[in-house]
Amino acid sequence: MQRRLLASIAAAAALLLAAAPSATAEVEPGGWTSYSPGFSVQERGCGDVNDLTFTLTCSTASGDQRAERRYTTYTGGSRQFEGYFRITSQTGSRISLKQTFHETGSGAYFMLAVERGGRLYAVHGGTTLATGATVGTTVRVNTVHDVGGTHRTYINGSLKHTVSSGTGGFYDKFGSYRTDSGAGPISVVWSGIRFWRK
Amino acid sequence: MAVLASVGCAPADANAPGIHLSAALTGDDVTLTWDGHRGGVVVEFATEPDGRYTILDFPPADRSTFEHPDLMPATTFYYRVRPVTGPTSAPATPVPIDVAPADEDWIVPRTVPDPAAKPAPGGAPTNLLARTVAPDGLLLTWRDNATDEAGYLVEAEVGGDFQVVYVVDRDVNSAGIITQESERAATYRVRAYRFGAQSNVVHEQTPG
Repeated sequence: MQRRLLASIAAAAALLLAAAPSATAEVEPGGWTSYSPGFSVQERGCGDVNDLTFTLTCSTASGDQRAERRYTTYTGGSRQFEGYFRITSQTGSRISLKQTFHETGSGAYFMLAVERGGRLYAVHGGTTLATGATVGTTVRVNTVHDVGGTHRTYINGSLKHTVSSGTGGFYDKFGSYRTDSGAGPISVVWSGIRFWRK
Repeated sequence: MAVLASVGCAPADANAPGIHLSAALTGDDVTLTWDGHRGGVVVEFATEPDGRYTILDFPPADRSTFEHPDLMPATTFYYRVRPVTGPTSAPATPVPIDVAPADEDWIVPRTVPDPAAKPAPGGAPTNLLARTVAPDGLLLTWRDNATDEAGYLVEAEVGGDFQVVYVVDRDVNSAGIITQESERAATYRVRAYRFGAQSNVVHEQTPG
Protein backbone atom coordinates (compact mmCIF):
# COMPACT_ATOMS: atom_id res chain seq x y z
CA MET A 1 0.00 0.00 0.00
CA GLN A 2 1.28 3.39 -0.81
CA ARG A 3 1.37 5.50 2.26
CA ARG A 4 2.08 9.01 3.25
CA LEU A 5 2.77 10.94 6.35
CA LEU A 6 0.60 14.00 6.12
CA ALA A 7 -1.72 14.31 9.03
CA SER A 8 -3.87 16.54 11.05
CA ILE A 9 -3.48 17.18 14.70
CA ALA A 10 -4.97 16.00 17.92
CA ALA A 11 -2.61 17.87 20.17
CA ALA A 12 -4.48 17.36 23.37
CA ALA A 13 -4.56 13.61 22.98
CA ALA A 14 -0.94 13.56 21.95
CA LEU A 15 0.12 15.47 25.01
CA LEU A 16 -1.80 13.14 27.25
CA LEU A 17 0.18 10.31 25.76
CA ALA A 18 3.54 11.88 26.51
CA ALA A 19 3.65 9.57 29.47
CA ALA A 20 6.12 9.55 32.27
CA PRO A 21 9.24 7.49 31.61
CA SER A 22 8.93 3.77 32.23
CA ALA A 23 11.86 1.57 33.07
CA THR A 24 10.18 -1.51 31.69
CA ALA A 25 9.45 -0.65 28.09
CA GLU A 26 12.88 -0.55 26.56
CA VAL A 27 13.00 -2.37 23.25
CA GLU A 28 16.19 -4.37 23.68
CA PRO A 29 16.07 -5.59 27.29
CA GLY A 30 19.14 -5.97 29.42
CA GLY A 31 20.15 -3.51 32.10
CA TRP A 32 18.62 -0.36 30.77
CA THR A 33 17.74 2.53 33.05
CA SER A 34 15.14 5.10 32.18
CA TYR A 35 16.38 8.66 32.44
CA SER A 36 15.41 12.17 31.45
CA PRO A 37 18.26 14.07 29.81
CA GLY A 38 18.13 17.82 29.73
CA PHE A 39 17.53 19.69 26.52
CA SER A 40 17.60 23.11 24.98
CA VAL A 41 15.18 24.47 22.40
CA GLN A 42 16.63 25.69 19.13
CA GLU A 43 14.68 28.07 16.91
CA ARG A 44 16.52 29.38 13.88
CA GLY A 45 15.24 31.22 10.83
CA CYS A 46 11.54 30.50 10.51
CA GLY A 47 11.60 27.72 13.09
CA ASP A 48 9.05 27.81 15.87
CA VAL A 49 8.79 25.48 18.84
CA ASN A 50 5.64 25.26 20.92
CA ASP A 51 6.19 22.53 23.48
CA LEU A 52 6.31 19.41 21.28
CA THR A 53 5.05 21.04 18.09
CA PHE A 54 7.88 21.94 15.74
CA THR A 55 7.12 24.19 12.79
CA LEU A 56 9.02 25.67 9.89
CA THR A 57 6.78 28.44 8.68
CA CYS A 58 8.65 29.41 5.52
CA SER A 59 9.62 27.87 2.20
CA THR A 60 13.11 29.35 2.30
CA ALA A 61 15.49 26.91 0.65
CA SER A 62 18.64 28.34 2.16
CA GLY A 63 20.13 29.20 5.51
CA ASP A 64 19.50 27.73 8.91
CA GLN A 65 15.82 26.87 9.31
CA ARG A 66 15.17 24.73 12.33
CA ALA A 67 12.83 24.06 15.22
CA GLU A 68 14.31 21.40 17.46
CA ARG A 69 15.10 20.04 20.87
CA ARG A 70 18.77 19.43 21.44
CA TYR A 71 19.44 16.95 24.24
CA THR A 72 22.53 16.73 26.42
CA THR A 73 25.69 15.11 25.16
CA TYR A 74 26.59 11.53 26.02
CA THR A 75 30.04 10.07 25.55
CA GLY A 76 29.84 6.34 26.09
CA GLY A 77 27.72 3.31 26.78
CA SER A 78 24.39 2.77 25.06
CA ARG A 79 21.36 4.97 24.62
CA GLN A 80 17.82 4.38 23.51
CA PHE A 81 15.41 6.96 22.21
CA GLU A 82 11.69 6.45 21.68
CA GLY A 83 9.25 8.93 20.26
CA TYR A 84 6.17 9.25 18.09
CA PHE A 85 5.73 11.86 15.43
CA ARG A 86 2.81 13.02 13.42
CA ILE A 87 3.10 15.45 10.57
CA THR A 88 0.21 17.83 10.79
CA SER A 89 0.93 19.69 7.58
CA GLN A 90 3.69 19.51 5.01
CA THR A 91 4.00 21.44 1.83
CA GLY A 92 7.78 21.42 1.98
CA SER A 93 10.17 18.53 1.45
CA ARG A 94 13.36 16.93 2.71
CA ILE A 95 12.96 17.93 6.31
CA SER A 96 14.89 16.13 9.02
CA LEU A 97 12.75 14.94 11.91
CA LYS A 98 15.30 13.14 14.12
CA GLN A 99 19.05 13.35 14.31
CA THR A 100 21.80 11.64 16.22
CA PHE A 101 24.61 14.12 16.19
CA HIS A 102 28.29 13.23 16.53
CA GLU A 103 29.43 16.30 18.36
CA THR A 104 33.10 15.41 18.40
CA GLY A 105 33.09 13.87 14.95
CA SER A 106 31.32 14.26 11.67
CA GLY A 107 28.28 16.17 12.89
CA ALA A 108 24.82 14.85 12.16
CA TYR A 109 25.79 11.33 11.28
CA PHE A 110 22.26 9.95 11.37
CA MET A 111 19.33 12.02 10.11
CA LEU A 112 15.82 10.69 9.62
CA ALA A 113 14.03 12.89 7.11
CA VAL A 114 10.80 13.05 5.16
CA GLU A 115 10.15 13.96 1.56
CA ARG A 116 7.10 15.60 0.10
CA GLY A 117 4.76 12.70 -0.38
CA GLY A 118 5.85 10.88 2.73
CA ARG A 119 8.96 8.84 2.02
CA LEU A 120 11.11 8.49 5.13
CA TYR A 121 14.80 8.27 4.39
CA ALA A 122 18.25 8.49 5.91
CA VAL A 123 19.89 11.68 4.73
CA HIS A 124 23.36 10.13 4.69
CA GLY A 125 23.16 7.58 1.92
CA GLY A 126 19.55 8.29 1.01
CA THR A 127 18.29 4.89 2.12
CA THR A 128 14.53 4.65 2.15
CA LEU A 129 13.44 3.75 5.67
CA ALA A 130 9.73 3.61 5.05
CA THR A 131 7.14 4.88 2.68
CA GLY A 132 5.50 6.17 5.76
CA ALA A 133 2.59 5.19 7.85
CA THR A 134 -0.78 5.78 6.38
CA VAL A 135 -1.48 9.44 6.29
CA GLY A 136 -2.93 10.82 9.44
CA THR A 137 -1.39 8.23 11.69
CA THR A 138 1.41 8.48 14.15
CA VAL A 139 4.81 6.92 13.42
CA ARG A 140 6.87 5.36 16.18
CA VAL A 141 10.65 5.78 16.13
CA ASN A 142 13.12 3.85 18.28
CA THR A 143 16.86 4.32 18.03
CA VAL A 144 19.44 2.24 19.86
CA HIS A 145 22.96 3.59 19.90
CA ASP A 146 25.96 1.66 21.15
CA VAL A 147 28.71 4.24 21.17
CA GLY A 148 31.66 2.77 19.36
CA GLY A 149 29.41 0.04 17.98
CA THR A 150 26.30 0.59 15.91
CA HIS A 151 23.28 2.87 15.68
CA ARG A 152 20.02 1.11 14.86
CA THR A 153 16.76 2.71 13.83
CA TYR A 154 13.38 1.04 14.13
CA ILE A 155 10.31 2.45 12.41
CA ASN A 156 7.06 1.12 13.81
CA GLY A 157 8.98 -1.70 15.44
CA SER A 158 10.90 -2.87 12.37
CA LEU A 159 14.63 -2.46 11.91
CA LYS A 160 15.13 -0.10 8.98
CA HIS A 161 18.65 1.25 9.29
CA THR A 162 21.96 0.28 10.85
CA VAL A 163 25.14 2.31 10.74
CA SER A 164 28.42 1.89 12.54
CA SER A 165 29.28 4.40 15.22
CA GLY A 166 32.50 6.03 16.18
CA THR A 167 33.42 7.11 19.66
CA GLY A 168 33.23 10.48 21.34
CA GLY A 169 30.33 12.75 22.17
CA PHE A 170 26.83 12.37 20.71
CA TYR A 171 23.43 13.87 21.30
CA ASP A 172 19.86 13.40 20.19
CA LYS A 173 17.81 16.03 18.39
CA PHE A 174 14.29 15.94 17.11
CA GLY A 175 11.84 18.41 15.65
CA SER A 176 12.01 19.82 12.14
CA TYR A 177 15.15 20.91 10.37
CA ARG A 178 15.70 21.95 6.76
CA THR A 179 18.29 19.71 5.14
CA ASP A 180 20.71 21.12 2.58
CA SER A 181 18.36 20.21 -0.26
CA GLY A 182 15.10 20.86 1.57
CA ALA A 183 12.60 23.57 2.38
CA GLY A 184 9.52 24.00 4.54
CA PRO A 185 6.85 24.61 5.48
CA ILE A 186 6.15 21.72 7.79
CA SER A 187 4.60 21.19 11.16
CA VAL A 188 5.27 18.05 13.15
CA VAL A 189 4.07 17.00 16.58
CA TRP A 190 6.19 14.67 18.69
CA SER A 191 4.91 12.79 21.71
CA GLY A 192 5.76 9.92 24.01
CA ILE A 193 9.44 10.86 24.26
CA ARG A 194 11.47 8.46 26.38
CA PHE A 195 15.15 7.72 26.92
CA TRP A 196 17.10 4.84 28.41
CA ARG A 197 20.79 4.23 29.00
CA LYS A 198 23.19 1.57 30.19
CA MET B 1 -10.76 18.05 18.38
CA ALA B 2 -10.47 14.56 17.01
CA VAL B 3 -8.80 11.71 18.80
CA LEU B 4 -5.60 10.34 17.33
CA ALA B 5 -6.40 7.44 15.08
CA SER B 6 -3.45 5.47 16.39
CA VAL B 7 -4.68 5.43 19.95
CA GLY B 8 -8.41 5.78 19.65
CA CYS B 9 -10.53 3.87 22.10
CA ALA B 10 -13.27 2.61 19.85
CA PRO B 11 -16.79 2.21 21.09
CA ALA B 12 -18.15 -1.29 20.77
CA ASP B 13 -19.84 -1.94 17.48
CA ALA B 14 -22.81 -4.15 18.17
CA ASN B 15 -23.17 -4.98 14.49
CA ALA B 16 -19.61 -6.21 14.00
CA PRO B 17 -19.00 -9.90 14.31
CA GLY B 18 -16.15 -10.83 16.55
CA ILE B 19 -12.71 -10.88 14.98
CA HIS B 20 -10.36 -13.62 16.00
CA LEU B 21 -6.70 -12.74 15.64
CA SER B 22 -3.78 -15.14 15.72
CA ALA B 23 -0.04 -14.58 15.45
CA ALA B 24 2.94 -16.67 14.41
CA LEU B 25 6.58 -15.83 15.03
CA THR B 26 9.20 -16.90 12.51
CA GLY B 27 12.65 -15.62 13.31
CA ASP B 28 12.13 -11.94 13.97
CA ASP B 29 9.01 -11.66 11.83
CA VAL B 30 5.43 -11.88 13.04
CA THR B 31 2.61 -12.91 10.76
CA LEU B 32 -0.91 -12.01 11.80
CA THR B 33 -4.02 -13.76 10.55
CA TRP B 34 -7.60 -12.91 11.37
CA ASP B 35 -11.07 -14.15 10.60
CA GLY B 36 -14.62 -13.40 11.59
CA HIS B 37 -14.89 -10.12 9.73
CA ARG B 38 -15.50 -9.28 6.11
CA GLY B 39 -14.31 -5.80 5.39
CA GLY B 40 -11.45 -3.48 6.02
CA VAL B 41 -9.57 -3.41 9.28
CA VAL B 42 -6.79 -1.50 10.93
CA VAL B 43 -3.79 -3.43 12.27
CA GLU B 44 -2.05 -2.00 15.33
CA PHE B 45 0.84 -2.91 17.61
CA ALA B 46 2.23 -1.97 21.00
CA THR B 47 5.16 -3.17 23.07
CA GLU B 48 3.51 -2.97 26.47
CA PRO B 49 0.38 -4.84 27.60
CA ASP B 50 -1.50 -1.61 28.17
CA GLY B 51 0.72 0.33 25.86
CA ARG B 52 0.18 2.87 23.22
CA TYR B 53 -0.98 1.24 20.01
CA THR B 54 0.43 2.40 16.70
CA ILE B 55 -1.21 1.83 13.33
CA LEU B 56 0.69 -0.49 11.02
CA ASP B 57 -1.66 -0.84 8.12
CA PHE B 58 -5.17 -0.60 6.73
CA PRO B 59 -5.33 -3.87 4.78
CA PRO B 60 -8.03 -3.96 2.12
CA ALA B 61 -11.19 -5.95 2.63
CA ASP B 62 -9.96 -8.99 0.72
CA ARG B 63 -6.84 -9.47 2.83
CA SER B 64 -6.74 -11.14 6.23
CA THR B 65 -3.02 -11.37 6.93
CA PHE B 66 -0.27 -8.94 7.76
CA GLU B 67 3.46 -9.46 8.15
CA HIS B 68 5.45 -7.34 10.59
CA PRO B 69 9.08 -7.95 9.66
CA ASP B 70 12.56 -7.45 11.15
CA LEU B 71 11.33 -6.70 14.63
CA MET B 72 13.17 -5.27 17.58
CA PRO B 73 14.90 -8.13 19.45
CA ALA B 74 13.89 -9.53 22.82
CA THR B 75 10.74 -7.46 22.80
CA THR B 76 7.15 -8.49 23.35
CA PHE B 77 4.84 -7.24 20.62
CA TYR B 78 1.11 -6.94 21.25
CA TYR B 79 -1.31 -6.81 18.33
CA ARG B 80 -4.95 -6.10 17.71
CA VAL B 81 -7.13 -5.47 14.69
CA ARG B 82 -10.28 -3.40 14.54
CA PRO B 83 -12.92 -3.23 11.84
CA VAL B 84 -13.01 0.00 9.91
CA THR B 85 -16.53 0.80 8.84
CA GLY B 86 -18.52 3.73 7.60
CA PRO B 87 -20.25 5.03 4.49
CA THR B 88 -18.33 6.13 1.44
CA SER B 89 -18.86 8.81 -1.13
CA ALA B 90 -19.50 8.02 -4.76
CA PRO B 91 -16.23 7.44 -6.60
CA ALA B 92 -14.63 10.34 -8.42
CA THR B 93 -12.13 10.37 -11.23
CA PRO B 94 -9.56 13.19 -11.19
CA VAL B 95 -10.15 16.08 -13.54
CA PRO B 96 -7.84 19.02 -14.18
CA ILE B 97 -8.36 22.00 -11.94
CA ASP B 98 -9.61 25.19 -13.61
CA VAL B 99 -7.13 27.56 -12.00
CA ALA B 100 -3.88 26.32 -10.56
CA PRO B 101 -3.32 27.30 -6.93
CA ALA B 102 -0.81 30.06 -6.28
CA ASP B 103 0.95 28.06 -3.58
CA GLU B 104 0.89 24.60 -2.04
CA ASP B 105 -1.48 25.29 0.81
CA TRP B 106 -4.01 23.11 -0.99
CA ILE B 107 -2.18 20.09 0.42
CA VAL B 108 -3.01 20.92 4.02
CA PRO B 109 -6.08 19.10 5.41
CA ARG B 110 -8.70 21.60 6.44
CA THR B 111 -12.35 22.22 7.12
CA VAL B 112 -13.81 24.59 4.59
CA PRO B 113 -17.07 26.22 5.71
CA ASP B 114 -19.94 24.53 3.89
CA PRO B 115 -23.31 26.15 4.65
CA ALA B 116 -25.11 23.53 2.58
CA ALA B 117 -23.93 20.65 4.77
CA LYS B 118 -26.51 19.18 7.13
CA PRO B 119 -24.53 16.62 9.12
CA ALA B 120 -26.27 13.76 10.86
CA PRO B 121 -25.12 10.52 12.50
CA GLY B 122 -23.98 8.01 9.91
CA GLY B 123 -24.11 10.51 7.07
CA ALA B 124 -22.22 9.53 3.95
CA PRO B 125 -19.88 12.05 2.34
CA THR B 126 -21.11 13.54 -0.92
CA ASN B 127 -19.99 15.94 -3.62
CA LEU B 128 -16.51 14.44 -3.87
CA LEU B 129 -14.31 16.25 -6.35
CA ALA B 130 -10.83 15.09 -7.26
CA ARG B 131 -8.87 17.73 -9.09
CA THR B 132 -5.39 17.43 -10.51
CA VAL B 133 -3.42 20.48 -9.46
CA ALA B 134 0.07 19.26 -10.36
CA PRO B 135 1.54 16.26 -12.16
CA ASP B 136 1.78 14.50 -8.81
CA GLY B 137 -0.77 16.51 -6.86
CA LEU B 138 -4.45 15.86 -6.28
CA LEU B 139 -6.87 18.06 -4.36
CA LEU B 140 -9.88 16.28 -2.91
CA THR B 141 -12.91 18.11 -1.57
CA TRP B 142 -16.16 16.67 -0.27
CA ARG B 143 -19.21 17.45 1.80
CA ASP B 144 -19.01 16.29 5.40
CA ASN B 145 -22.45 14.94 6.22
CA ALA B 146 -21.54 13.01 9.38
CA THR B 147 -21.46 13.92 13.03
CA ASP B 148 -20.06 10.71 14.41
CA GLU B 149 -17.08 9.89 12.23
CA ALA B 150 -13.65 9.22 13.73
CA GLY B 151 -12.20 10.81 10.62
CA TYR B 152 -12.08 10.39 6.87
CA LEU B 153 -10.18 7.84 4.85
CA VAL B 154 -9.19 8.65 1.30
CA GLU B 155 -9.23 5.45 -0.71
CA ALA B 156 -7.78 4.95 -4.18
CA GLU B 157 -8.80 2.18 -6.51
CA VAL B 158 -5.57 0.62 -7.64
CA GLY B 159 -5.54 -2.76 -9.31
CA GLY B 160 -9.25 -3.20 -8.80
CA ASP B 161 -9.23 -2.68 -5.02
CA PHE B 162 -9.78 0.43 -3.00
CA GLN B 163 -6.88 1.02 -0.65
CA VAL B 164 -6.46 3.59 2.07
CA VAL B 165 -3.94 6.19 1.00
CA TYR B 166 -4.72 9.04 3.32
CA VAL B 167 -6.28 9.58 6.73
CA VAL B 168 -7.50 12.91 8.03
CA ASP B 169 -9.32 14.00 11.13
CA ARG B 170 -13.04 14.31 11.55
CA ASP B 171 -14.76 17.32 10.02
CA VAL B 172 -12.07 17.73 7.37
CA ASN B 173 -13.53 18.27 3.90
CA SER B 174 -10.50 19.33 1.85
CA ALA B 175 -7.11 17.69 1.55
CA GLY B 176 -4.35 17.28 -0.97
CA ILE B 177 -2.21 14.25 -1.65
CA ILE B 178 1.00 13.64 -3.51
CA THR B 179 0.22 10.77 -5.82
CA GLN B 180 2.43 7.92 -6.84
CA GLU B 181 2.68 6.85 -10.46
CA SER B 182 0.17 4.04 -10.03
CA GLU B 183 -2.42 6.36 -8.50
CA ARG B 184 -2.56 9.06 -11.14
CA ALA B 185 -5.25 7.32 -13.13
CA ALA B 186 -7.02 5.93 -10.07
CA THR B 187 -10.58 6.52 -8.98
CA TYR B 188 -10.99 7.94 -5.50
CA ARG B 189 -13.58 7.87 -2.77
CA VAL B 190 -13.72 9.04 0.83
CA ARG B 191 -15.11 7.17 3.80
CA ALA B 192 -16.50 8.63 7.02
CA TYR B 193 -14.91 5.94 9.14
CA ARG B 194 -15.48 4.48 12.55
CA PHE B 195 -13.77 1.67 14.40
CA GLY B 196 -15.65 -1.45 15.37
CA ALA B 197 -15.05 -3.73 18.30
CA GLN B 198 -11.44 -4.81 18.50
CA SER B 199 -10.19 -8.36 18.20
CA ASN B 200 -8.51 -10.32 20.94
CA VAL B 201 -5.00 -9.10 21.69
CA VAL B 202 -2.20 -11.48 20.76
CA HIS B 203 1.46 -11.21 21.65
CA GLU B 204 4.78 -12.66 20.60
CA GLN B 205 8.25 -12.18 22.05
CA THR B 206 11.06 -11.83 19.57
CA PRO B 207 14.35 -13.68 20.15
CA GLY B 208 17.26 -11.88 21.82
